[in-house]
Amino acid sequence: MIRFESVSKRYAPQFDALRELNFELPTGEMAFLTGHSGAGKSTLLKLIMLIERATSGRVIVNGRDHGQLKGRQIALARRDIGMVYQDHNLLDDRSVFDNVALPLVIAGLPPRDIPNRVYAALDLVGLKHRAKAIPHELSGGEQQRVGIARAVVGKPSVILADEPTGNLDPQLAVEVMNIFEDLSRVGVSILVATHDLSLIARFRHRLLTLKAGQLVADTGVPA
Amino acid sequence: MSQPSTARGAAKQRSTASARFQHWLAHHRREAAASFLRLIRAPFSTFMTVLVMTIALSLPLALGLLLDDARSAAAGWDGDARLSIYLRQDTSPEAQQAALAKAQRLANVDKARLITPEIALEEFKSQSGYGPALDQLGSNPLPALLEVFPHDTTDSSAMTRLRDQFAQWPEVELAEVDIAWVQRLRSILELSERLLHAIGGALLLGALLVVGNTIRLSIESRREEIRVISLLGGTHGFVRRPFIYMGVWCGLGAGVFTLATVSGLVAWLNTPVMEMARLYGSQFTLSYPSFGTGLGVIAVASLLGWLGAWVAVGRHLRELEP
Repeated sequence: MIRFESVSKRYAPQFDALRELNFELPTGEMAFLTGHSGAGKSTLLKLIMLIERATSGRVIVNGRDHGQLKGRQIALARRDIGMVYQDHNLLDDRSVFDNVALPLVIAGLPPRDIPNRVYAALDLVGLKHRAKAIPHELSGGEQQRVGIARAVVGKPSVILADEPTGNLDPQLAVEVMNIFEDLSRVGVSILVATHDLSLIARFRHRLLTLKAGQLVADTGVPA
Repeated sequence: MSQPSTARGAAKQRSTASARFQHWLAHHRREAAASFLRLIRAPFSTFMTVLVMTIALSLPLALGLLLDDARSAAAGWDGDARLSIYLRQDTSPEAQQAALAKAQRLANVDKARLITPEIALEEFKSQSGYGPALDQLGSNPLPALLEVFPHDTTDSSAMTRLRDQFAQWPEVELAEVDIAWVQRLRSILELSERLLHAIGGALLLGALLVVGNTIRLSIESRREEIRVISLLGGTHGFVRRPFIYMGVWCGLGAGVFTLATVSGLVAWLNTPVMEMARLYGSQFTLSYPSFGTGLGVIAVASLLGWLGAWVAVGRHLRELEP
């Protein structure tokens, strides 16, 4: 569950990236977040991921008030959020397997339990056969899918995706969105930031529209 | 692509505390080994770091050992510190014995010895070689002397007070305490000790900065990895671990090299030092670092490596805080 209560974010000297944002994404709901460049989508995701802190208001994720978290609490909160980055953020000196295993290693999962979980996540994105490859041997689309596998392997309560289909062909984009839908059905809250209107039109989910840091539309699931 | 296999969505797999501890230990072992390999793969920069740390640690250790040896030698000489109490020429033999008895009763006197004018003259004759000339003297010009050995020869002010006490006795002509050279030696040793602390502190700080800088360079080359691990929920401890091990390995290596360097230096210098000491009738030798000192040096060096890494990573982690 994600809840924003009158959240504003101001960057120095006087740039308001977000202004008085109020919305709630319940457990198991999937929503799109859209808006032009500079509308505040990335800032919103950064506040949820605890990369930035709100200037005012409260960001509550899985019952945790992010404004109150410090040190180790921040790390623990991040483990419960899977993030799919537009630029993948994969480690180039490690194999696909090791990249996907990283959240499990960080969480302290026993080593014997890790391979099954990693292969299951890779299977989910159709890359089980590339487990030994290193990221720069993969295409952009494959790297994006590795990023998705890494985001879901820890079974987080919330998944954030920043343009997750930007590097994928239409067929793969649909498959990735199907994975997100399946995850939301089993209780994962999913927020997908995208410019891709065709994707938004095809997958009928709630739509949050940002403009100049303000939530200008919160459209429910179309009938 | 397959469908999500988990029916419980975000449910977490539970593991026992014991399993987590085992995993934590295993991760430490892996990171220790990986950090060691990473250092070996960059032999030049690792060697330079260890070398600079070795120099920074060797100097204070060598000076410290030398100072300890000098202090031990000086402590041996302390036993010679005494007071010379010259009695008046007209002091009768009975009065001399009474003065001796009175001196021996003083609380801060360990022992006292009376050298009568006759004994003093005999000693002077035999030592000076002026025997026949002295025989020509009509009377013995030497006074009776009380040699007084205080309990505590390390406290120069106590010895001075004792001298002043003797000087007030009516039968005493002159009271002397010959500890100026001991005081000078102690002053030199004390000054040397303070200098050693200052130089040692500066050098250890230098070693700390060297390790910190090495770790900082390593952080720069792994900045992206640290950021990703942090975003995936890595705690500060998790992020720090490989760098801490790097620092500790460097410190450990420097500690071992320091012991080898100083031991080699002692072996190299000991023969000429012993030869020189022998010419002065002394058994003085330079000491090798003891087992305890060796362990201490390795521990301090490792601690420096750990601290340098901690500070360097800490700075970077603060930059990643929201």
